[in-house]
Amino acid sequence: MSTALSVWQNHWELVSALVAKDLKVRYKGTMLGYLWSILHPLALTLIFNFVFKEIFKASIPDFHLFLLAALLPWTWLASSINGGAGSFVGNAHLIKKVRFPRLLIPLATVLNNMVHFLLSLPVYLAFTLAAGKLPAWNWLIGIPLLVLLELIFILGLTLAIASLNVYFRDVSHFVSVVLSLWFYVTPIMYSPSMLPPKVQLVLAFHPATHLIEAWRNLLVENRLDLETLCLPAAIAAAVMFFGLIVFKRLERGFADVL
Amino acid sequence: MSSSVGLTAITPLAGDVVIDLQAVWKRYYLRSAHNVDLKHAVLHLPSLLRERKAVEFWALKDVSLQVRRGECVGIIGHNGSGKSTLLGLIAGVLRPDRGRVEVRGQVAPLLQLGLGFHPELTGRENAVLNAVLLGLRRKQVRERLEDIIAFAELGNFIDQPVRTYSSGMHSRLAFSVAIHVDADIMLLDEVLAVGDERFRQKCLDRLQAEIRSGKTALFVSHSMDAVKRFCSRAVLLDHGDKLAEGSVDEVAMRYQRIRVV
Repeated sequence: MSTALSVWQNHWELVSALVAKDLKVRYKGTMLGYLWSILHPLALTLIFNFVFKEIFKASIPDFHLFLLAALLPWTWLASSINGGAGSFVGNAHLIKKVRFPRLLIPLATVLNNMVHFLLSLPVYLAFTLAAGKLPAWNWLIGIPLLVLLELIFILGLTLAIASLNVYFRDVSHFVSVVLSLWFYVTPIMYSPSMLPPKVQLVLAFHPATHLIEAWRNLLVENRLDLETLCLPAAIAAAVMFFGLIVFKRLERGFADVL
Repeated sequence: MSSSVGLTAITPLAGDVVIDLQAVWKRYYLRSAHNVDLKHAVLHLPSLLRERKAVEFWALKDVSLQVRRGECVGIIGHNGSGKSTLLGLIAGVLRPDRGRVEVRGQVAPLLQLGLGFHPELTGRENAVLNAVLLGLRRKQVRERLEDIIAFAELGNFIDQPVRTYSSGMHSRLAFSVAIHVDADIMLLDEVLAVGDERFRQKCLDRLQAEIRSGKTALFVSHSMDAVKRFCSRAVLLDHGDKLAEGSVDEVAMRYQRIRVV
């Protein structure tokens, strides 16, 4: 029992060392450092706010909150997948030399991006307060719950993509193209209710929709209905299951082909 | 035949045998799917699967090897003879296609120095990361960090990014981290090829002390001198076959002969 515990503790230490490395490396040599993880979504919000409010005259109140509430979790997803797709290939030197659970490599990428997401939440809170709104108590349950769901969802997806990328290097290129398309078919700049009913139905099949919608419900409207979380939870579990299967099947050969 | 090995050891790990390879085969595919693009793979899947079988390449063929605690065994052979594959199997990063590999104790691969060093991080940051990768707790790393830095003789450079290091400094730090991990089994793959003579000597002395204190080592090298100094026993690999096993001198002679051919 105690050995199993110490093995897990070792793995945890390794993951946190890898995450710490990524965090240090990302902004090494920059003057603004961690501010960039906040500045990036802020700049995007500024641009979209200008385009939608000033050019398209969108009528959504507090459009910047509406946008940020979806854009921040999306950024976590997109940068995890973009960065994680090549994570096995990029760490080939480790995979070929040292024995440790390979799952920890994409996990570190996803957790690294999670840290950036969590760092951006106080910024969102500041915007909420500035808009004269108050957060509700359900944020305290809702945020950890949604973070967990999204973590499972992203990790499953990243695992599958990173594993396939070991055998077909095209995958990471393909994925970055798909992600830029995915951004527009995910209700980030708009909400599903703004679309014709037929399109709404199609959108309901899109796995990230529910998660993004849940974030927006929570952060913009202080709404957290546990029933509406069932679907994203089921999707996250299914994606994780799928990712683990793909990973398990392909993992054996990693050191042979890398 | 100097290649006779105790094939009677079908019994579980006996006494203090810490590395036990039983009739191990390892295969690679020379032109497997990872060399082709997705389009090609989709269009030619059936023929690819056929090809996979056709171009298999056996990196190790029916290799058995037992190593006891406290032994230092030299692995000799030309490039492509299967030496690194053998170490990969013992390190647990490769799996045998046939046969069985059993290893008792923590393994530290001291191979191809500076593995995983990130050029933008400082020597200190890299040392911590590397030691954790090799299996240390951060608490243990903190306790040993001063020793690691002192052994590497890096002085103030320890807080500079590794990209500013000379190749000698790089390998000094890498060696120092690996030796301080204090693993039971050390896998040494051409580790002593770099660094100046004095530091090389210091590393050799340190290794010798570790082996005397009961550590086990596998020493891969082209150079017979290092093997002769360290190892009590050697194994000669050639094209995946174990050609010889025995005293270092015997095996060295055999190596000389296949060198000429």
